[in-house]
Amino acid sequence: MFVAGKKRKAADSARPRVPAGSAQDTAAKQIERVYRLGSESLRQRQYRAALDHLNRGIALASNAQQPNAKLFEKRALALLHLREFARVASDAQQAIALDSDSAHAYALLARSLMMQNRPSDALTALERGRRQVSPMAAGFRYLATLQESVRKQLDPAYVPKQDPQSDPVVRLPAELNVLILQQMDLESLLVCRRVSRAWQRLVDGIPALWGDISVADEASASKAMRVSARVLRLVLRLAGQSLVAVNVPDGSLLGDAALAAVRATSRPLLRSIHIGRLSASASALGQLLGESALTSVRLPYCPDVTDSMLEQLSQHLPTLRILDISGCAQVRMKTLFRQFRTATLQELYLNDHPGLPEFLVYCVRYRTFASLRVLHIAVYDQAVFAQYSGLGPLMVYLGRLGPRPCPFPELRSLNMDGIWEPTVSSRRFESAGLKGIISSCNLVPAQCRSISAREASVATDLDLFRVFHTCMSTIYTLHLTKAVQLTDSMVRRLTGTAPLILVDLDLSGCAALSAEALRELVVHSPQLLHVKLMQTRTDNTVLRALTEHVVAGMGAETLDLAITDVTGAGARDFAVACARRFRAKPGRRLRVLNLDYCENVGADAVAVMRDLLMPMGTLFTAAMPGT
Amino acid sequence: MVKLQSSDNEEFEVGKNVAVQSVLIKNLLEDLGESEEAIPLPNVTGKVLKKVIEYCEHHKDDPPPLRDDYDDVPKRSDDIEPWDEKFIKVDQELLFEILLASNYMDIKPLLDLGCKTVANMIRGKTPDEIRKAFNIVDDFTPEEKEQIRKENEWAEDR
Repeated sequence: MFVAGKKRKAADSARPRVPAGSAQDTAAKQIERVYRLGSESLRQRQYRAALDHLNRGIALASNAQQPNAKLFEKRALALLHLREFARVASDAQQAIALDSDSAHAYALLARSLMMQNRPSDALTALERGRRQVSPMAAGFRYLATLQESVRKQLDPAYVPKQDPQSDPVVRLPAELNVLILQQMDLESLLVCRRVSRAWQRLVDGIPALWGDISVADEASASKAMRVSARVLRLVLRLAGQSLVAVNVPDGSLLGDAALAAVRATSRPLLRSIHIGRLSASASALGQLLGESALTSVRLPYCPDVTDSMLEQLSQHLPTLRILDISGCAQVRMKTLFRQFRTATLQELYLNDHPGLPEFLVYCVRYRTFASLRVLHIAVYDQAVFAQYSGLGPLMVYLGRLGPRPCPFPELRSLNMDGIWEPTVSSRRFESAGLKGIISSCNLVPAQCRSISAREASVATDLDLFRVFHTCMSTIYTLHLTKAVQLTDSMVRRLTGTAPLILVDLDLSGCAALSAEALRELVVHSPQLLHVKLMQTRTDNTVLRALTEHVVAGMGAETLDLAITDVTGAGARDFAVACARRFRAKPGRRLRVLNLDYCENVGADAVAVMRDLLMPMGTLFTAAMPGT
Repeated sequence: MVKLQSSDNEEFEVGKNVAVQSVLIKNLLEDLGESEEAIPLPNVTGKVLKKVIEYCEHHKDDPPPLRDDYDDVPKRSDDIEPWDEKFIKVDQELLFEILLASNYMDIKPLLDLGCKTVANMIRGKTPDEIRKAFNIVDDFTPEEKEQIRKENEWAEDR
């Protein structure tokens, strides 16, 4: 415990003074309470409510003969928001009469005059304020700022003078500015440049800010901003030699000139290039990739990436660790394998690539990429296989190879979303399909930590067993959606009785699993944080298991149980447990709860839960058809 | 117990486990040994120091931050904890003073909290909203404005 050496200072000057004497004392307390209510309403932008409180406060104050400038100031502010400008002026005048140091009152007066299109009167009021108010008073600097803004409004060509001391951000020591601005994404940094000259100087003067810019993270790549060549050039100019990474997931507006700008200056620190959907000539791309120190090259969905560029890459960048040629249909697997024998590659992104079947079979045969830790071979666009033929011979070849060890012994993360979709696996391919190759390849080593296999509707129990049996005890993230053929007995075989360390589980749409199997899975996974069991047979028994984790102090932070059989009572118990956990450990809050279209959850339960979850700020939805 | 003295000569007595969250004080105690003398903090006023101590008091039993060896493990949410959020909901002047004090006293988690809070006040706003939030005059001429607008154009035809 700490003990203040001095007594706490007397009431804050922002609050009405509390004189001695009991009757006056209670009046003063009442006024103070009403004043606080009014301020709180203002903060919450409930101006009508604020006005009511402040009206009452002013009446109380006048009865008790304790007129109070702050009350008039606040009421003027409420009225300003309610656009009753004439009344703002009269309240502001009252406040000034009561307290000649009230800078805020002068500011409010000026703002109301501005809103009434009387800028020169506003200027007069501000000048008067700056003469009357003591320079030490709170808000004095604001008067100067406001005065400059008004002058500028009167004459757009006027260049106002900013007192550098009045800008709290610019005034900070440089190292703090860096810490703050580091957290901005590109869009916000560009906005910062437009605030004022000082801000522009500040932001432009820290090359490190521009050196490693993210436009949007992977997860929200769908809404990734398209970056124009002009903005990229600006970033490159400001980053100068500090450029570490170029990260533009949607580069469809960029071309050769933008790439040339990357190379225009020496970039000794540049390590990573990630530009998606780029249409540039092969030669410009090749030159760019000649940069000698790159360790990560990601050019997904760039149609102009060619075999010869890949050759250049491997020659110039013997230490390349990350390569993304998703959707680069021109690149042949033969070239990939010839060029990357040294196998330093740790991450390979090969989504939507027609060479995928060959890639897998070659890997089994030659173990070329034995050092891979991350492999993405998702199929989002089945059209890439439209022209494909030759799966039959590959299957025969694979059969002749016989059982082989896992081609990726170091693999930690595998994404094969869409690979078990019906169109990919059977219709477009010959009978056995890609699915046969996946399940014969023994892809996943023990120690794997993350597997994503969404839309797995054609995966049979056997397919799933082959992929998952090695790694269930080490896996953190498991996304296996629409695996309608996944059965209870398979889940039990996979999970056994050992405790699992699943943290992020998505089994949405695995409709064949019984509630009992789901419950066992949850019971054995005490570390679950993110759980999605949408459109499954999840019922209260499963939810109770989830609740027990919460009671034990662990348990979910996001939970999606849309379209399941849980009831209002079960859901309420869960919410109660979460609210208790939150009180005991404020860091552990339930962030998301989705009970959309759960027909057994009534409106009453939803209302109760809303109250329970509100203090945590949970994003809670429970939509019903027709509501 | 450790005594701290603010710039306006207010004295605070705090537990050692509270005080040593400030690396500045931790180093001072290690170098000079503990004494009855109050440690002067000439850059921090009593009002701010009181807030800083409130923060350290609440976080005195926090485990040291873990290093993230496994980047692929989904993490618990790293956004601002509710207590911290409430703690840092202060007027702007005090917020910036806390920021400066945490920098001077070298209290990393509080510094992070302050920076995050200021960053949140900037992120996703328009230039006008930022000016209003921090009481800044728009001192660009119309020509300069046009120039920046052109430079900043986010998406355009090649």
